[in-house]
Order: sequence, then structure tokens, then C-alpha cells
Amino acid sequence: MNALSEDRLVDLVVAWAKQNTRKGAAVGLRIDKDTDLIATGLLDSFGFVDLLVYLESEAGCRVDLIDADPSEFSVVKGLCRLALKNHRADEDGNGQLHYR
Amino acid sequence: MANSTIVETYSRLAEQYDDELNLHSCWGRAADRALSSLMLPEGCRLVLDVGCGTGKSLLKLAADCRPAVEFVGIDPAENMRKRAAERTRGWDNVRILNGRFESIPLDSASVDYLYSIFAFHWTTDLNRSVQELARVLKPDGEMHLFFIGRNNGREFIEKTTPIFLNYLGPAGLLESAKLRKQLTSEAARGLFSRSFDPARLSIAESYDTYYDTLEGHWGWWVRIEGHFVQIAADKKRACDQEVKSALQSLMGDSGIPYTIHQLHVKLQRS
Repeated sequence: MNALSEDRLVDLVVAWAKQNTRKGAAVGLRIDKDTDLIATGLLDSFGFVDLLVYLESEAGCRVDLIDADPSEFSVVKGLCRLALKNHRADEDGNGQLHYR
Repeated sequence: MANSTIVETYSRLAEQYDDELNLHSCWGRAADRALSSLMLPEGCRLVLDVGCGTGKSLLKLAADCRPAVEFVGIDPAENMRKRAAERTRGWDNVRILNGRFESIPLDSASVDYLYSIFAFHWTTDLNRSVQELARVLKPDGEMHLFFIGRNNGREFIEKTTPIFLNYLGPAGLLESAKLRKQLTSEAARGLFSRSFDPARLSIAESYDTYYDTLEGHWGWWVRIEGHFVQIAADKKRACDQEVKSALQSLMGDSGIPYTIHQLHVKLQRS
């Protein structure tokens, strides 16, 4: 069963990003599904590693980044779609986060 | 398991490491400041520098000390060790060995004074490294580790991450990030408290902003080149140019700012 929806994942990512933005970054900036987490300076690459680990533990989905488009990956909804795509592909698998 | 990409890059670029621009850069100055804060205790017999690089700090300490004190510098990068050995030639009380945080080639409980300046963040295995430090230190040994914290270089990170995302791709960017461990002060305390007596342990955290020209900052880029080896040679020049333009845009009246977030883990004698 695939219980995950894009909206649910977006909510998870937005909530996590609000709690874990880079120190001193973009204070007061609204974070939503269209926010580019890297271009806005909200997250750095270390933050993204943490975010993917969180997605793995919280949503049980893997994010395969091999063919990911950089501009899609860094925007909240794009990242969620990547995660969802792999989650669907893995419905019968282990659903591990996997960023190669 | 050592971080082979980083080690190989340091070895390849060892000759550039002692360039004046690097030595006088913010990192060179921060390293000098850390070194000048070290004071060997009375009765000290064996001093260990982990990640000794080209041996600059080791020689400075050895030169200021009586010859009865033995100094050992370890580094996993072969050409860095060669330069350190050349630098310390003639000093019978100084040895340069192949080693790393994860595997220190010394007996248990043999070291009186252990220090490391801006190397610990390159470890690949935090727990194993701290256990290894605890193994080689004498029960009343003293330790000073200086390394970068989670918020290091925030001005540069904000400007350059989108560029590196473009050149490395998402997977490459995250792999590159994982080459370095940047701990918060809290995480460092938790890590070291598992292997050392918390009553003897303290962590000093500092943020120091250094201003320099673009050329001045580019002088220390040799220290992080290992992060970018995945970028094809034909694209590296364009990437460097974009990065330089982005850094230049940070120029203010005092220069281009770079904030070093430093953690100093101290283990005092009991």
C-alpha cells in the first residue's frame, strides 16, 4: 500500500526545514512547496543530507538522486516528487533511502 | 577506513600547501593562533600531532622544547609526510609516521600530550577515532583538538552551494558533503563524553570572521580541493570562475568575509 501523498511529504519537508534551517539563513522567509531550499540559502549540503535521512526514517522512502535534475531536487515539491517516485517503485521493496 | 579522496588530494597538492597565500590566509592565521595556545606540561615525554600535514606546528613545538621530549607527527597523505620529514630532518626527537585518527600507530597509554589543528573534521569514523585517541593517551594525558564546527564558512556556503549543485549534481553534492564531519558543539560533547571523563572535558566554541581579498581566500582553496575531484577537468575551470565571481560579490569595505566556526575540544590533566 502506498499511503504517502505529495501533500503529506511536502508538509513533512516544510516542517523539518522550518526547524533546521541554516544558522542565520533567510530569517523570516516563508517556506512552502515552491521554495528552493538551496538557492534561498535555507539549507546547505549538510542540511540536505540530514533532510534525506529524516525522509527515510519518517516516510520510509528512498530518494535516488542519480538522474535527478539539480533544480528539481532543491525545490520542496521537486524533492517530494523524487521521493514519491521511488517510493512507488519500491512499494513491494524495502523502501530504503538511497542517494547514490 | 581513511577518506581516500581527501587523502590523495592532499598528497597530490602537498607542494602547494606551504604557499605563502595559504599560510597567511584565514586558515593559516587560525592555525597559528591555535598553535600559540598550546603549552606543553611539565614532565611531558611524548607529544603527538594527529594530521601533522607538512610538519610546521610540530617543528615549532619541538624547537621550543628540550630534546628529551619526543615528538610524533602522523598523517595519511604520503607527500605531506615527506615534506614533514624534510622539514624536521636533523631533529632526532621528531618522528613522522603514516597514521590517521582512525588508526594511530602508537602503543596504548603512551602519549602525554596530543593535539590536532584543523584535521579532525576529515575523519571517516567519529566513534572509532575518539576511541583511538582515548586508547593512546595516558590516563592523565592532555589533549587539544581544534576543528571546524557545523556553521563554518557560512558566507561562502550560501554563495557556492548552488554552483556546486550545478556542477556536481545532487548525488555528487551530497557525497561531497559527507567527506567532512562538521559537528555542533552539543554533538561533539556527546561524542567525546562517551570515551573521556566529562569532568576533564571542555569544549570552547568560537566564531571569528576573517576579511581578505579574493586572491587571499583562493590561497587556501587547496585545503578543500578534495571535495571537487568529481568535477571533470574540462568543467573545473568554468566552475572555479563561477565560484570566484560569487565570492567576489561578497566584497565589502573590509574585504570578503569568511567566518570560521571553531570547536576546541580540551581534555585537561586530572
